[in-house]
Amino acid sequence: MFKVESAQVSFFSKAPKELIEASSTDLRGVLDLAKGSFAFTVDIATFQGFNSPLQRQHFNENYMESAVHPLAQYTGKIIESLDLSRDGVFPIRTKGKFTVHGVSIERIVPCTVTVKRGKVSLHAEFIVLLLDHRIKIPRVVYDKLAPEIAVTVNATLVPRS
Amino acid sequence: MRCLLFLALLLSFSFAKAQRPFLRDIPLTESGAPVRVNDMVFDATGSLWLGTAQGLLRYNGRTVTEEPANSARRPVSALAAQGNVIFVGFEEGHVLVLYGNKARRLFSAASRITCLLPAPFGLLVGTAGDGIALIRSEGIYRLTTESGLSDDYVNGLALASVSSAPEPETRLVAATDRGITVIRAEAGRLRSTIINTRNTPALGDDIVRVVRWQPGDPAGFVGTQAAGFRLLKIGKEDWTLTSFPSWAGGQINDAVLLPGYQRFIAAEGGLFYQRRTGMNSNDDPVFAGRSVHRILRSATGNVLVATSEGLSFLTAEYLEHIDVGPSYNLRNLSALAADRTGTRWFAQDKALFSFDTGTRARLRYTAPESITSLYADIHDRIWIGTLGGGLLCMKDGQVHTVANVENLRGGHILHIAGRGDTLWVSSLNGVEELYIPSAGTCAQRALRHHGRASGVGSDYIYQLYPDRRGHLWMATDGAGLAMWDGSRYHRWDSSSGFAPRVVYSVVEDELGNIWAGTLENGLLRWDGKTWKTFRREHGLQSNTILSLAALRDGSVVAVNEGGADQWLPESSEFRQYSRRMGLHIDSFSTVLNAMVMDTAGDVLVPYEHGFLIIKPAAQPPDFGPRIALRTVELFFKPVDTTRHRFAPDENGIGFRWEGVHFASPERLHYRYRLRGYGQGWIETGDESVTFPRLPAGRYAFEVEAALGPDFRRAARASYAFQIAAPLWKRWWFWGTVAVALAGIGYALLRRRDHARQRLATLQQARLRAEYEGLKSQVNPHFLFNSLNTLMSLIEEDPTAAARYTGQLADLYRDTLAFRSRDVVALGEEWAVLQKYLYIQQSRFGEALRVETNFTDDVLRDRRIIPLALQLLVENAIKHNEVSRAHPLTISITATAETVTVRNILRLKASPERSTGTGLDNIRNRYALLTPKTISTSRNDGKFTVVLPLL
Repeated sequence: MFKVESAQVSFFSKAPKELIEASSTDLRGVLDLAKGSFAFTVDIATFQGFNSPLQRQHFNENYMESAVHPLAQYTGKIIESLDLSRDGVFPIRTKGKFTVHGVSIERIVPCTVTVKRGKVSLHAEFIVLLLDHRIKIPRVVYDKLAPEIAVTVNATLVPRS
Repeated sequence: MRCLLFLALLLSFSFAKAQRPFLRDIPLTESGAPVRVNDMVFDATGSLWLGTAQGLLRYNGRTVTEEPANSARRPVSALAAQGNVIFVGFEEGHVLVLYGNKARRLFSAASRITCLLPAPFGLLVGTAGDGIALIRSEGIYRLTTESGLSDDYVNGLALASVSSAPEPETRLVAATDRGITVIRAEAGRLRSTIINTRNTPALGDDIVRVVRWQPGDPAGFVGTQAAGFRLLKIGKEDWTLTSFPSWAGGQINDAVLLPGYQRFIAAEGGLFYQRRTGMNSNDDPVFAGRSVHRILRSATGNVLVATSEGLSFLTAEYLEHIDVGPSYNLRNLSALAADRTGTRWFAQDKALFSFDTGTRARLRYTAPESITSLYADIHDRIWIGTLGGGLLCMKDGQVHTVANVENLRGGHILHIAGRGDTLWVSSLNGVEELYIPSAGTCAQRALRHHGRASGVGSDYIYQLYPDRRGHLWMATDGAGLAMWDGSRYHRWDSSSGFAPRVVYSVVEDELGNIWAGTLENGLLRWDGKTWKTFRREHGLQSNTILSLAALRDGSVVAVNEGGADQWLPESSEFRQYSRRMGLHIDSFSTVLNAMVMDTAGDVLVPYEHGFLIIKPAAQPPDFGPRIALRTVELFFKPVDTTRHRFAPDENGIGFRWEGVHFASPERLHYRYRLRGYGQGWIETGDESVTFPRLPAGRYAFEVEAALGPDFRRAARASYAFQIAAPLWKRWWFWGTVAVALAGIGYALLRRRDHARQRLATLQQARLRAEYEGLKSQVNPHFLFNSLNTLMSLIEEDPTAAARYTGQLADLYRDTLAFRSRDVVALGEEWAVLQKYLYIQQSRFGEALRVETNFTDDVLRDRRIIPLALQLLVENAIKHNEVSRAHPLTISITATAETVTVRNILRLKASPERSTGTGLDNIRNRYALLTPKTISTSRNDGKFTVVLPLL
């Protein structure tokens, strides 16, 4: 049983007219190696680093509707068997329910787990399609917000006592 | 020359395109908006059911209908069919069974239904997280990781046959997120074996998406999420896995396996297909950019493809094409040939090109005159016929002119054919048979001449065809068809009843039949004995056939100007290639016999936009149409189709049917009849009919669908029903009514007769009583006595005499008044009796005493028959002594029920003559009126009569 000690979740939206970048360190989660299952959650409202405070407000109120759907979640299982007792880099696949904006879709997310001197860290990069999660982009900002958002997750895990 | 170069350049660019199947999207919504199709299945009548993100749809080759069973449009994730039953699995996690127009929920799970598999032992349901459920009539069994499943997330299920087992054995194979589970039933218990990357590294990926076993195939298909596909052979205790290393198509979702190692693979990256020449997953997929979820082969050989965007179909199994681009037109292509290496040669005016699949066309030679015909022999020589330039021979890039044959020199060549070391060349001067040695040079020697002079009937031969027996067939202009068997000519022309004068082409099919394509006389087939003619009404698009080719699968392709028709021997139908397929196949080459079969057995047909490649079918298509009776309607409202009986007033019966055909739905013809209605077949274009006022009777509705108006190979659906006769039209009803009426009539008659008889008797008795009464009163004794009494009274007491006379008159009047009545009140009778007694007492005085005892109530309420008391009193006076010494005392007492008349018996010494009718008369009259009887008794010297009161 592992839990997230520290983490950074970042996203990039690369639209023709604007590059938006924001991140949050508020990732919480557990990993149950015995069952091969996991659950991660991040609070949408904790994302920081937009181009302007107004943009952040738009992000929360217009697109993500974080008051209604405050959390992004990913729960599921690890396909490959994982042994964290030895050092190494393990590419694994995770499969589960990915929920953003209140819409859950089933996803397979590749992930790299690194064990170095007993310290476990994980790294994942994936794309979120706004259409998949019924996130509407107003026509006015069509070229300011990309339909595909690139997400990067870095986290270190520690055994849960 | 410049122009030709430009042309060659154009062709070079276009021909770089590979051989591709045709594909067409089938719009599922009115707007054509994309709909994600998750699963699909064919039902027993050939209709295609589609499980989409917007609910359940059905497609019959022409129209898409929304299924009412899922009017809520809940997303469907899995489908299966078993006979007429459809199983529907939903994303929400439940399973519905549809039968006719009924739906029933079978099962509910907490997660999405991923797959459904009807097995002989029950329905297997795979779920996304809850394992497998087996639904049987007696209950639901679950199979999860706890009972040996590799993972609870099930992607696919299949029944696999065990290879190398002496007895046929089956295993259930489950594709899960953590490998494959092979399950066997052993002594009533389930035993499962898990195949995953830990025990079988060759699997490559633990997320197994799909498992498919073709009946009879030793190895099954295993498709994974990230590592392509494998072939899995399951033994009794072990398994072997064959891997295919390179795969770039992404997650595999489905596969269709065809004989001869042809397979179609549905993946996230599009649809991939493996031809018999070998799989190349680096080929561009069809539908790139769409996620392909499910593929099915239709009976007609089309591959139906369910994608994230909707439903499409693909002609890959039987038809592909090489597109030359919209800016070019192959209608004037003049000759076509294929050599033994697979290189195709074609001529366009004077230019000769060659090309291989996937390569560019190369200009190989420019002839001095227009090229009319090409033939590639087995020694890599290309024989070129020209218009006015005679016969040329091309070998290793060098072109030689055939100059040593007189008839060919500078001639107009129509056609060239060869077999082995023999070459036949048709020109305007007839046919030259040449010997071409295998030495590999262009040397040749004339062997024989065929023509009008030798007995062919014409010098103008459109096509030469050497058959497998070595006979040379000649399609002539004006003289029908001729054949040289090596020693003599056989001719089929107008003199032998062979209608076509002009035959353009001739070919032998795989079964040994000879086919002749004619001008305006259709297509003819010679089976060695007779000719059978096919024309437009048999499914041909035109009666003028320009070219013919026979495929290895037994089919024959006939090309006309507007399209091509392929005779399918198993189905006895023509498959039409035309613009109606919606594939932009418009106009074909107008040049005769510009068609060729290559070494792979594919037939190339030039058409406006490129080459059609008609391929021998891996599996003979079932081209026959299907038909389904969709609804039976009673007064325009659907009824349960399992209902076959209707009431007399339920006589407005309607039917809706649906023809199903995926390749040529526009060719569907319908006809119907209602047996029992005295009606023959009625042809119609509609898909419904209503019979508004059917009389009672037994009927059978039959409807047929065929691809042509001749209904040669029709599919039929039927429905028998019965309309009950109304009550008043059934024999037993009338029988019952007649018997009942007769019974009632008889009873009435009996009763009437009885009553009448009784009435008559009563009347008679009454008359008799009256008569007796009157008789007694006009009895001379009575009159004598009365008149004597009256005389003495007149003297003694004139007042009493007058009263006496009054009483006597009243007595007679009352007696007469009573005669019409059956019963009188006791009081009335008493009144008359008193008058009578007055008369008698006037005579007898103290010697006659009458004692009475009755109440007024009885006198008023009770009734008696008239003159009964008087008769009794009269009898008493008549039979007994009445004197002062022996007075007669008559006592009359009445209770509520009876009246009793009693007198002391002292009979007269000389009795008056008695008729003896008085008492009998009373008895008879009582008997007629009432079951109560009168009783008489004679004892203690008293005579008693008891009359019942009424």
